[in-house]
Amino acid sequence: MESEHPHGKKLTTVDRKSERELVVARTFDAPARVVFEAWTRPELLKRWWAPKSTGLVLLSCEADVRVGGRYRFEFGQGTSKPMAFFGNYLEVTPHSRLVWTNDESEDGPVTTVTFEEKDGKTLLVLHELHPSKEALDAAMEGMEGGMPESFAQLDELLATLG
Amino acid sequence: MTLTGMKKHVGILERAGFVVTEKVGRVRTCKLGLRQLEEEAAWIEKYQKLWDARFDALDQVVEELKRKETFDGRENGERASPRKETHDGGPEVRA
Repeated sequence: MESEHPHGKKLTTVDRKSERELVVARTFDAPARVVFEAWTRPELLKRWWAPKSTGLVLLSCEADVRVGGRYRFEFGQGTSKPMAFFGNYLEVTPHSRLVWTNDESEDGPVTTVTFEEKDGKTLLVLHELHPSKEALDAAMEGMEGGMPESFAQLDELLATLG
Repeated sequence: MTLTGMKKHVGILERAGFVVTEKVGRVRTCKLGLRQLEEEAAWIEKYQKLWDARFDALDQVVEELKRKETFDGRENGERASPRKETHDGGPEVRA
Protein backbone atom coordinates (compact mmCIF):
# COMPACT_ATOMS: atom_id res chain seq x y z
CA MET A 1 0.00 0.00 0.00
CA GLU A 2 1.41 3.33 -1.10
CA SER A 3 1.35 5.87 1.71
CA GLU A 4 3.78 8.56 0.59
CA HIS A 5 3.06 10.78 -2.38
CA PRO A 6 6.02 11.55 -4.67
CA HIS A 7 5.67 15.25 -3.88
CA GLY A 8 5.76 14.74 -0.14
CA LYS A 9 2.03 15.07 0.50
CA LYS A 10 1.00 12.18 2.67
CA LEU A 11 -1.82 10.02 1.41
CA THR A 12 -4.87 8.94 3.30
CA THR A 13 -6.08 5.51 2.23
CA VAL A 14 -9.55 4.07 2.82
CA ASP A 15 -10.27 0.40 2.21
CA ARG A 16 -13.26 -1.80 2.82
CA LYS A 17 -11.19 -4.61 4.22
CA SER A 18 -14.11 -7.01 4.59
CA GLU A 19 -17.89 -7.04 4.70
CA ARG A 20 -17.79 -5.57 8.21
CA GLU A 21 -14.54 -3.60 8.26
CA LEU A 22 -13.39 -0.23 7.03
CA VAL A 23 -9.76 0.85 7.38
CA VAL A 24 -8.39 4.40 7.12
CA ALA A 25 -4.61 4.89 7.21
CA ARG A 26 -2.05 7.67 7.00
CA THR A 27 1.54 8.30 8.06
CA PHE A 28 2.52 11.33 10.16
CA ASP A 29 5.99 12.77 10.36
CA ALA A 30 6.13 12.75 14.15
CA PRO A 31 6.66 10.32 17.02
CA ALA A 32 3.60 8.31 18.16
CA ARG A 33 3.51 10.18 21.47
CA VAL A 34 2.89 13.49 19.65
CA VAL A 35 0.15 12.09 17.38
CA PHE A 36 -1.46 10.34 20.34
CA GLU A 37 -1.48 13.61 22.27
CA ALA A 38 -3.35 15.34 19.43
CA TRP A 39 -6.03 12.61 19.59
CA THR A 40 -6.47 12.55 23.33
CA ARG A 41 -6.43 16.18 24.49
CA PRO A 42 -9.90 17.64 23.75
CA GLU A 43 -8.54 21.15 23.18
CA LEU A 44 -6.29 19.74 20.43
CA LEU A 45 -8.83 17.25 19.07
CA LYS A 46 -11.36 20.04 18.45
CA ARG A 47 -8.83 21.87 16.31
CA TRP A 48 -8.70 19.17 13.64
CA TRP A 49 -11.75 16.89 13.91
CA ALA A 50 -13.96 19.29 11.92
CA PRO A 51 -11.61 21.20 9.64
CA LYS A 52 -13.02 24.37 8.08
CA SER A 53 -12.78 22.93 4.57
CA THR A 54 -15.53 20.40 5.42
CA GLY A 55 -17.98 23.18 6.25
CA LEU A 56 -18.76 21.58 9.59
CA VAL A 57 -18.63 23.53 12.82
CA LEU A 58 -17.79 21.71 15.98
CA LEU A 59 -20.19 23.13 18.57
CA SER A 60 -18.84 21.13 21.45
CA CYS A 61 -16.22 18.50 21.99
CA GLU A 62 -15.92 16.62 25.23
CA ALA A 63 -13.59 13.66 25.58
CA ASP A 64 -12.71 11.97 28.83
CA VAL A 65 -9.99 9.76 27.36
CA ARG A 66 -9.63 6.89 29.82
CA VAL A 67 -11.13 3.41 29.94
CA GLY A 68 -14.89 3.82 30.50
CA GLY A 69 -14.67 7.58 29.90
CA ARG A 70 -17.20 9.14 27.55
CA TYR A 71 -16.91 11.42 24.56
CA ARG A 72 -19.45 13.60 22.84
CA PHE A 73 -18.97 15.72 19.71
CA GLU A 74 -21.70 18.03 18.46
CA PHE A 75 -21.63 19.39 14.95
CA GLY A 76 -23.71 22.14 13.49
CA GLN A 77 -24.04 23.70 10.10
CA GLY A 78 -26.17 26.70 9.23
CA THR A 79 -29.62 26.41 10.73
CA SER A 80 -29.88 22.64 10.64
CA LYS A 81 -30.26 20.75 13.87
CA PRO A 82 -26.94 19.85 15.49
CA MET A 83 -25.77 16.28 15.11
CA ALA A 84 -24.25 14.49 18.06
CA PHE A 85 -21.71 11.69 18.00
CA PHE A 86 -21.00 9.94 21.25
CA GLY A 87 -19.75 6.78 22.91
CA ASN A 88 -17.18 5.59 25.41
CA TYR A 89 -13.57 4.49 25.42
CA LEU A 90 -13.01 0.75 25.76
CA GLU A 91 -9.22 0.82 25.65
CA VAL A 92 -6.68 3.59 26.15
CA THR A 93 -3.06 2.51 25.82
CA PRO A 94 -0.81 5.58 25.82
CA HIS A 95 0.93 6.27 22.54
CA SER A 96 -0.22 3.08 20.82
CA ARG A 97 -3.94 2.26 20.92
CA LEU A 98 -7.40 3.74 21.39
CA VAL A 99 -10.70 1.85 21.14
CA TRP A 100 -14.13 3.47 21.39
CA THR A 101 -17.77 2.74 20.74
CA ASN A 102 -20.05 4.76 18.45
CA ASP A 103 -23.37 4.85 20.26
CA GLU A 104 -25.31 7.41 18.19
CA SER A 105 -26.91 4.53 16.27
CA GLU A 106 -27.96 1.12 17.55
CA ASP A 107 -25.61 -0.82 15.33
CA GLY A 108 -22.69 1.58 15.30
CA PRO A 109 -19.15 0.27 14.80
CA VAL A 110 -16.34 -0.14 17.29
CA THR A 111 -13.43 2.07 16.28
CA THR A 112 -9.81 1.09 16.96
CA VAL A 113 -6.96 3.49 16.29
CA THR A 114 -3.39 2.26 16.42
CA PHE A 115 -0.26 4.44 16.42
CA GLU A 116 2.76 2.57 15.10
CA GLU A 117 6.08 4.41 15.31
CA LYS A 118 8.95 3.65 12.95
CA ASP A 119 12.02 5.82 12.37
CA GLY A 120 10.39 8.79 14.05
CA LYS A 121 7.26 8.56 11.89
CA THR A 122 3.88 7.24 12.91
CA LEU A 123 1.61 5.01 10.88
CA LEU A 124 -1.90 5.72 12.03
CA VAL A 125 -4.53 3.09 11.29
CA LEU A 126 -8.19 3.68 12.07
CA HIS A 127 -10.23 0.50 11.94
CA GLU A 128 -14.03 0.43 12.09
CA LEU A 129 -15.60 -2.92 12.87
CA HIS A 130 -19.33 -2.94 12.18
CA PRO A 131 -21.64 -5.48 13.83
CA SER A 132 -22.77 -6.86 10.45
CA LYS A 133 -22.38 -6.43 6.71
CA GLU A 134 -25.84 -4.83 6.68
CA ALA A 135 -24.76 -2.26 9.27
CA LEU A 136 -21.76 -1.15 7.21
CA ASP A 137 -23.83 -1.16 4.00
CA ALA A 138 -26.44 1.00 5.73
CA ALA A 139 -23.78 3.39 7.05
CA MET A 140 -22.49 3.77 3.49
CA GLU A 141 -25.96 4.34 2.08
CA GLY A 142 -26.75 6.68 4.94
CA MET A 143 -24.13 9.17 3.94
CA GLU A 144 -25.60 9.14 0.45
CA GLY A 145 -29.29 9.61 1.09
CA GLY A 146 -30.77 9.22 4.52
CA MET A 147 -28.56 11.63 6.44
CA PRO A 148 -29.56 15.10 7.63
CA GLU A 149 -29.23 17.79 5.00
CA SER A 150 -26.04 19.05 6.54
CA PHE A 151 -24.35 15.93 5.25
CA ALA A 152 -25.62 16.62 1.75
CA GLN A 153 -23.91 19.99 2.04
CA LEU A 154 -20.84 18.25 3.33
CA ASP A 155 -20.87 16.17 0.17
CA GLU A 156 -20.84 19.30 -1.96
CA LEU A 157 -18.05 20.83 0.04
CA LEU A 158 -16.05 17.64 -0.07
CA ALA A 159 -16.44 17.60 -3.84
CA THR A 160 -14.77 21.01 -4.00
CA LEU A 161 -11.81 19.72 -2.03
CA GLY A 162 -10.94 17.61 -5.05
CA MET B 1 -26.41 -27.49 -14.23
CA THR B 2 -29.52 -28.32 -12.19
CA LEU B 3 -31.99 -25.63 -11.28
CA THR B 4 -31.07 -26.05 -7.61
CA GLY B 5 -27.40 -25.68 -8.49
CA MET B 6 -28.15 -22.56 -10.48
CA LYS B 7 -30.14 -21.05 -7.60
CA LYS B 8 -27.23 -21.65 -5.26
CA HIS B 9 -24.81 -20.11 -7.72
CA VAL B 10 -26.89 -16.99 -8.23
CA GLY B 11 -27.43 -16.73 -4.47
CA ILE B 12 -23.69 -16.50 -3.91
CA LEU B 13 -23.26 -13.87 -6.62
CA GLU B 14 -26.15 -11.92 -5.15
CA ARG B 15 -24.73 -11.92 -1.63
CA ALA B 16 -21.42 -10.69 -3.01
CA GLY B 17 -23.25 -7.83 -4.74
CA PHE B 18 -22.26 -8.90 -8.25
CA VAL B 19 -25.85 -9.47 -9.36
CA VAL B 20 -29.24 -8.25 -8.24
CA THR B 21 -32.31 -10.40 -8.78
CA GLU B 22 -35.99 -9.66 -8.89
CA LYS B 23 -38.75 -12.25 -8.86
CA VAL B 24 -42.00 -11.52 -10.66
CA GLY B 25 -44.41 -14.46 -10.61
CA ARG B 26 -42.41 -17.55 -11.56
CA VAL B 27 -39.63 -15.64 -13.29
CA ARG B 28 -36.54 -14.42 -11.50
CA THR B 29 -34.59 -11.80 -13.45
CA CYS B 30 -30.88 -11.26 -12.79
CA LYS B 31 -28.83 -8.26 -13.69
CA LEU B 32 -25.31 -7.24 -12.95
CA GLY B 33 -24.91 -5.51 -9.60
CA LEU B 34 -22.25 -3.10 -10.80
CA ARG B 35 -24.25 -0.10 -9.71
CA GLN B 36 -23.84 -1.13 -6.12
CA LEU B 37 -20.09 -1.51 -6.53
CA GLU B 38 -19.86 1.90 -8.16
CA GLU B 39 -21.85 3.47 -5.34
CA GLU B 40 -19.57 1.87 -2.82
CA ALA B 41 -16.50 3.20 -4.64
CA ALA B 42 -18.03 6.69 -4.73
CA TRP B 43 -18.81 6.55 -1.02
CA ILE B 44 -15.30 5.40 -0.19
CA GLU B 45 -13.90 8.29 -2.21
CA LYS B 46 -15.99 10.76 -0.21
CA TYR B 47 -15.00 9.18 3.06
CA GLN B 48 -11.37 9.36 1.95
CA LYS B 49 -11.74 13.10 1.30
CA LEU B 50 -13.26 13.67 4.72
CA TRP B 51 -10.43 11.86 6.48
CA ASP B 52 -7.83 13.45 4.25
CA ALA B 53 -9.09 16.94 5.18
CA ARG B 54 -9.17 15.92 8.82
CA PHE B 55 -5.69 14.45 8.71
CA ASP B 56 -4.30 17.56 6.97
CA ALA B 57 -5.62 19.57 9.91
CA LEU B 58 -4.24 16.99 12.34
CA ASP B 59 -0.89 17.28 10.60
CA GLN B 60 -0.84 21.00 11.38
CA VAL B 61 -1.57 20.38 15.05
CA VAL B 62 1.12 17.67 15.14
CA GLU B 63 3.70 19.96 13.50
CA GLU B 64 2.89 22.66 16.03
CA LEU B 65 3.29 20.21 18.93
CA LYS B 66 6.62 19.07 17.48
CA ARG B 67 7.90 22.64 17.23
CA LYS B 68 6.76 23.39 20.74
CA GLU B 69 8.41 20.22 22.00
CA THR B 70 11.69 21.10 20.31
CA PHE B 71 11.48 24.61 21.71
CA ASP B 72 10.71 23.41 25.26
CA GLY B 73 13.37 20.75 24.93
CA ARG B 74 15.97 23.35 23.99
CA GLU B 75 14.88 25.66 26.77
CA ASN B 76 15.31 22.85 29.28
CA GLY B 77 18.44 21.59 27.57
CA GLU B 78 20.05 25.02 27.64
CA ARG B 79 19.39 25.32 31.31
CA ALA B 80 20.73 21.86 32.03
CA SER B 81 23.81 21.99 29.79
CA PRO B 82 24.76 25.39 28.37
CA ARG B 83 27.32 23.85 26.03
CA LYS B 84 24.59 22.33 23.85
CA GLU B 85 23.22 23.97 20.70
CA THR B 86 26.24 26.21 20.17
CA HIS B 87 25.56 26.06 16.42
CA ASP B 88 22.07 27.41 16.89
CA GLY B 89 21.10 31.05 16.76
CA GLY B 90 18.32 30.57 19.27
CA PRO B 91 14.60 29.95 19.10
CA GLU B 92 13.77 33.18 17.25
CA VAL B 93 15.46 31.72 14.14
CA ARG B 94 12.70 29.12 13.83
CA ALA B 95 9.77 31.46 14.51
